[in-house]
Amino acid sequence: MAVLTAGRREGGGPPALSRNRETPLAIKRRRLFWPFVAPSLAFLALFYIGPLLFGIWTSFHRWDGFSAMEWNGLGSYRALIDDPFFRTSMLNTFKILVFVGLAVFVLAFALTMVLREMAGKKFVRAVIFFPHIVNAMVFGVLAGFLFNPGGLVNSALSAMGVQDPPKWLGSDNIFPLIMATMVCTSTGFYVAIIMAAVDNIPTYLYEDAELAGAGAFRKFWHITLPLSWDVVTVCAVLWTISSVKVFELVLVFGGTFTTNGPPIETWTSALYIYRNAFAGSDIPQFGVVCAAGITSLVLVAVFTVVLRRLMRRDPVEY
Amino acid sequence: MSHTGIRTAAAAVTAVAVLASVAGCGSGGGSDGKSLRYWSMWTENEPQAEVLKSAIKDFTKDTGIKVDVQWQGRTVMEKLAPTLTTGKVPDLVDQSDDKMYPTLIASGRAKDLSGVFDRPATGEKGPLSSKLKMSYMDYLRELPDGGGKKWMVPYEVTSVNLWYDGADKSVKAPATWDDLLDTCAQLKKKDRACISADGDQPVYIGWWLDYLADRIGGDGVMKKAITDKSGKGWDDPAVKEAAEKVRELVDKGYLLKGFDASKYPEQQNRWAEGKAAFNLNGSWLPTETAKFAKKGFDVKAAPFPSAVPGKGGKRNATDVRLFGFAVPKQAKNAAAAEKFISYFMAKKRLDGIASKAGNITPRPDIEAPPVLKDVKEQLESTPSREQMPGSVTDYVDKVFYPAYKELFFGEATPDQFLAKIKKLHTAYAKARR
Repeated sequence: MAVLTAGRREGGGPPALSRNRETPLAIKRRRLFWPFVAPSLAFLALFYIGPLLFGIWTSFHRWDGFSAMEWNGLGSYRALIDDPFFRTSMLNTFKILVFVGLAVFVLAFALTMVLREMAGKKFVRAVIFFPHIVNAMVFGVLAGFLFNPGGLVNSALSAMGVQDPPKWLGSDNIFPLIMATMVCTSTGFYVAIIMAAVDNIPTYLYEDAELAGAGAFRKFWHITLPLSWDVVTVCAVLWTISSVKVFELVLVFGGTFTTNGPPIETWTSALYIYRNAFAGSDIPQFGVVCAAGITSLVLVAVFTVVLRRLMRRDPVEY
Repeated sequence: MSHTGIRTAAAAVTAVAVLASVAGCGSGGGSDGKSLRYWSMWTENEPQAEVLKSAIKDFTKDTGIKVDVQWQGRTVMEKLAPTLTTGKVPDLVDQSDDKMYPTLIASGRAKDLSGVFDRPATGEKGPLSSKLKMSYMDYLRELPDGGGKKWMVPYEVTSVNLWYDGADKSVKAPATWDDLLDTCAQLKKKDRACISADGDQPVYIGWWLDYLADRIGGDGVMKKAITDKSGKGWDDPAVKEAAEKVRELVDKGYLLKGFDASKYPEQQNRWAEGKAAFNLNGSWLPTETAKFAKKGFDVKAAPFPSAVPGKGGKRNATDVRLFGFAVPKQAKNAAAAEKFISYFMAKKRLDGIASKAGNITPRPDIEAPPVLKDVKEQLESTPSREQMPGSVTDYVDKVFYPAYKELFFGEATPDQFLAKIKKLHTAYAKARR
């Protein structure tokens, strides 16, 4: 940050602060600005900005990955509009973003409230954080063992006398199961962050509220939420970004990776892109794939900006 | 040079070094005819790779040509694609015909290998084509610009058959569709399931409709349905009749429970355990299910019921999928690659694919492994056809499976299925125009 400040000063600093009057430290900092920033900037340009621009360029072409590109104008974007399953995939991404997100945050706050006053809370927090460390693929594969027609869940149910168990992995049920799995695996992470924020709230505020006769919900609504709002905002952005990237869980959850992909009703936008680009026995349509990538990038960027706007509050000082 | 200058220089040097090490990953191949680069679809410890490895060793000893082999695995075509525009393309690759199609064939990037078929295999007399059952290749798509179908030299043949346990006295190979229904009805009386199917495998369950449509209306029916942009192909009465027959299996409760909510390979393993009589599957099934097979299981394969009374009589084509070699057009050592193919296709070396890797080869003079004896006989006495002709993964994902699974799971009537698949087909064609 210090380096950044020094760099800015060089360009737009107050005119009174001429070079001669800079301290030796500031001069050194200024000189070090580019050597420090340039390598990262170069990598960013090479591996992110460059490919992004190339992606935009490709989205206006027909391209199979190795033949010459052929100008296609907005054709790829029109193809996306015509593809009912692109809408399904985007909708699924937004379902994860909104519904799973809401569930995660409600649960995270509920757990935070319970844990705040609980004995051994550090241990409990570690336990519920644990699923976050495990690769999502593990849960996808585990689901197969649990929910197969002859799997653990149905065996347990039939032992309890249930003759006709639900079709857990039937294609209508897979996506809700995926969402439930995500709630279970993600909540711990946000509990850990939100708890860190809540721990900083002075206890006397809660004591005062209690004296005034506030119940658990009032304490949450008037103290916890406003005083941890900054953290919640950051968490919301983190969630948005991570939910757009949901991929491997769906990939192995819905079907078997080695032969076929998951059923199309469970695809997220990331899967749509993957299956269209690398599905095997088809000529890749990188134009459409890039158009899908750019479209979802734009939609998510818009969503994030709107979310930040909506969540903007004046910070509460305490 | 000031301190800052040194630091700047150091940063620059580091960046260049990193870039250089990234860029330096590839390695070039020579073109002296004394070596060739082979990218294989197998991974190093698979039985097929073992067979190829020993052939490569002998080949180098006999000819002095070095083979630089890389075991790329099933994604070999994806890895091949970016090399096609550079000079670093391998000289020899292998995969199944459908996986090679988009990368090598559609854009005409494979070499015509007619020469290999015209020459004898190493150490043999008479052209290679006289040693192979060439009609296996009838279903292959042609290279663009009239390049013909000989862009591939197949060394392994797989097929789709109706599998059952020969030791099970209440099950016998059905000659006709009605025979199959009879057997199913008999089993049902004994409270046994007739057919096991993994509903999450689009193509596996699709074979039922595909084979039936072929038996009723001929090979052209499904091909037209899948490839005709207008979607009118789905109006063929043969498709509807096939759909009705599929639905009948479901409605009569002949499918082993769990078919509509399984995770492959659950249901095929249940078949091997004897929970259901039949499984419609590829010739790889015996290997895949070997460790689940119940004691005394005698794996037998029957052709898909070959006659539907009054409709098409004795249509009996067998679904075939070929695995084999191809040579990219830009290969620098194409001659050496062709030499290796001729070397490998000789009886005594190709035999390993059957005896060691447990598969059928395209050479009738090589004996099939015991569990595939029936299949080999069937393959050699019937015409070959392509399964789900003309379909590609994307089509199966977006059109066929979303509509067909509703029929197969008993959620849609044949008419509802046809209406949905036509709608999806039209949307697909529109998005792909």
